[in-house]
Amino acid sequence: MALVVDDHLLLNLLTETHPPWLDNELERSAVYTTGSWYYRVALAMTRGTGDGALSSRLTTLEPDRQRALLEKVGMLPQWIGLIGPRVLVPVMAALSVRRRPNLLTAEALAAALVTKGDLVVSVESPILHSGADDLGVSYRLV
Amino acid sequence: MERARLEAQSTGELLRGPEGSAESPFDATEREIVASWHSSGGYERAVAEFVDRDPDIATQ
Repeated sequence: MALVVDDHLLLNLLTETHPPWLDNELERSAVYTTGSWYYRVALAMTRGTGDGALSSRLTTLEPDRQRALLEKVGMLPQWIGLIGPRVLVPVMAALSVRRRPNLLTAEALAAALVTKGDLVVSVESPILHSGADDLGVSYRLV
Repeated sequence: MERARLEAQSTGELLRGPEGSAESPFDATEREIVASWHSSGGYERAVAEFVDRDPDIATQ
């Protein structure tokens, strides 16, 4: 079994704040995310501005510890799978779905197909949901 | 599809199975900072700023 998790669940996993049901799933499922969801996390952590910036929360740390934390964003743990564009792009290009997906949605659908995984998201995504239905992929909103 | 799976298998991108333990790359202090930023909506606000300019990575 496999799960393809969105950016919020990825952050939960990285900070060990994921819900207990996901802990149980980790015992029997491989966990993947996508490049687009990982990119959103990395971009928000390293380049977020304004009142959403992580940097404003880092002021309690010494500068070298701030740098160390941000560097860790670029080191996705090996236990989280990430399928690259060489494999996914042809699958994304061939998706047969009723509603046109953007890059993030197409990548998530392709990752679920290649890994034979369930899509597990924490924000309702109507086009991702309908695409999953079209492709026979399990879609779980948690 | 099978070709894509075989390609992912050959490059090691397809995990062999569940890894069991989900160890964080962050230490306890770092985890607390990042988790609090996430749970207080800071992450969502940061994402809203850049998906506005880049609809390809917006939630659809």
